[in-house]
Amino acid sequence: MPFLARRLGAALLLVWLVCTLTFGLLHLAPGDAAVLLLPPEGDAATLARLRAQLGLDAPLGLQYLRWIGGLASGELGRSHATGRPVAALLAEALPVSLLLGLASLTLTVILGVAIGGVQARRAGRAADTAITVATTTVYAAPTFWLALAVVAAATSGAAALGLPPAWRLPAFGLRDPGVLDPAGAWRDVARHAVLPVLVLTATGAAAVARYARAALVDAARSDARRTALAKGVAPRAAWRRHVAPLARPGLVTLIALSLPGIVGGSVFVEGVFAWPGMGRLLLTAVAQRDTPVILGATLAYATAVIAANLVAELLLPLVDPRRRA
Amino acid sequence: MTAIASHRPTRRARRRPTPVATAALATLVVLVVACAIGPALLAADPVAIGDVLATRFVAPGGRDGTGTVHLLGTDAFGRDVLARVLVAGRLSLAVGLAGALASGVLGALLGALAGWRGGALDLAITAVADALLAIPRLVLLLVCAALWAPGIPTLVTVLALTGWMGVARLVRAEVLGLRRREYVQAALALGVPPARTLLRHVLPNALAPALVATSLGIGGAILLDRGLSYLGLGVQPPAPSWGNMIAGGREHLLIAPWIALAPGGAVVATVTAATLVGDWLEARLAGREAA
Repeated sequence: MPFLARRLGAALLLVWLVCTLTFGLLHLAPGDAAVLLLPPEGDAATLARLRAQLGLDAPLGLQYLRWIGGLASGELGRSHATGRPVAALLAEALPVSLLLGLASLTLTVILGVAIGGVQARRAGRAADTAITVATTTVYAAPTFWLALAVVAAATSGAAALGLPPAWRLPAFGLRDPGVLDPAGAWRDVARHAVLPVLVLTATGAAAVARYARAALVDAARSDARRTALAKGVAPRAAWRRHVAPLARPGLVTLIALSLPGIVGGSVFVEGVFAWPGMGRLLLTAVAQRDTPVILGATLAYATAVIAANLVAELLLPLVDPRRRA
Repeated sequence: MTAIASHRPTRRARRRPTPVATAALATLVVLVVACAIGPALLAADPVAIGDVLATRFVAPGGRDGTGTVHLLGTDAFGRDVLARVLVAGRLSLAVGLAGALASGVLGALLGALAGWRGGALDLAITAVADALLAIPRLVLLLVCAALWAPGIPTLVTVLALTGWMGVARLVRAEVLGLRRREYVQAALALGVPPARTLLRHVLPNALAPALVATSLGIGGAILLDRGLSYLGLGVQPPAPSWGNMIAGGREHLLIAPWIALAPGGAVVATVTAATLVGDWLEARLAGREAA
């Protein structure tokens, strides 16, 4: 399979380019982690020793070679800020973001395609227009603003309505510290996931619905459907056999390309709901100029982006016979 | 059979803005005019802080301790929220428009160059675009923010540098297709210089998707500026922007939700309207019925 080998080679090259670019960009910015580790009254000698211990005093080229060398042997280094291995930090944050991302992406696709389909069947009518305005409005709402509104509704709103505590959903964190038995722990995490998944699904489904509507309306105008209707195919069958397959490749690409978002996490949603995922990890690392952690998270994200591109390219022939060589 | 005929609207019907597009355009005009002349009509000062205890946390439509009515209430320092939303709108709308335009122009130029010249230049531009798309945008934004002092020019530069890749891809694909067309080949064969051919014959035909992407990008730029302000990297206080107002209002969400809700509503209205206008443009160019 020379095609796959060539694509994989190009993908690896791109991952390397991304890492190098990020490394260079990070070192363009003034200041480093050592300055932020010391209190303001720390003296120059302590700072110099700290820099030497962290390897920040070495020339840039050497620092780069050390990092790439470590990477080649599967070593991502340690966090400057906490001293913990980057691999362990990623291993903690990734499942949290994956849980949030997979749950919301599944709901997003189901809901988004369903809404877009309902709209396309009624293209140009009042219901279609009303739904477009609604989805565009949700799509236009800043995620963190939506998240804040949901938090306000779940806390003071629920209290104002007089909901019993058992009915109220927790707005912050991943789990309650008090729940210890395994079965209860899963239920507890699920309860904590409801609100952030709700916010992510709302914004995601709005975007997918907008796209699905456009793709289906285009497909519905196709000659294939007109011919099918003219020769007497039932409208529903024409829709299923001639319209949906035309819109499918675009949707598959869109969904494949939104996969990396799961690995990257959502900075704002994780921030508002206090979920210790990839978005939060990256945000904290950037604030602390924690280069090894930033590079590790970027590597994970870039790999996901490039893998998703590859998956989209390989999936397309499955849903689009015209692409089969 | 009428159902089949109705799938191809007449040319005139496609050109006419739909009621939704008209309403969206009107909303944008109203917002721009309100932000431009509104602050001059209001007596309230958007920045000055007076008697904090007598004027803070006034609910929308309420009267403060000095007897002044505040349509959208006041914030934690007793400043009129409506006056602040309008003044902030000037900055936020300008940043959104400038950011979308800058990334659109940069993307169109690089994309056209890559598609036209091909070869090593194409490879280089495409590789950089792909690499930048694979770096979390947050990292790019924060690096830029660390490099340059926060401010409006920085914000627009950052929006352009991190947002050109999509438009570049679109324009490159268009130019690649156009390059082989007869009229382009004819122009070249007749001795029209390549640069002139690109500018006069290719680019005008390749710009339509870029224009749509840019009009849809206005909303994106405004949203991103909000996100950055929320992280403390956007427009710096005391100058109000919708983003830093939302970020500031967050602390008082439970006792005075209007402080964050008012600028948030302004963002939603602006971005919804800009996106709906972009949708209509896109549908028109694709010959599709817009909602």
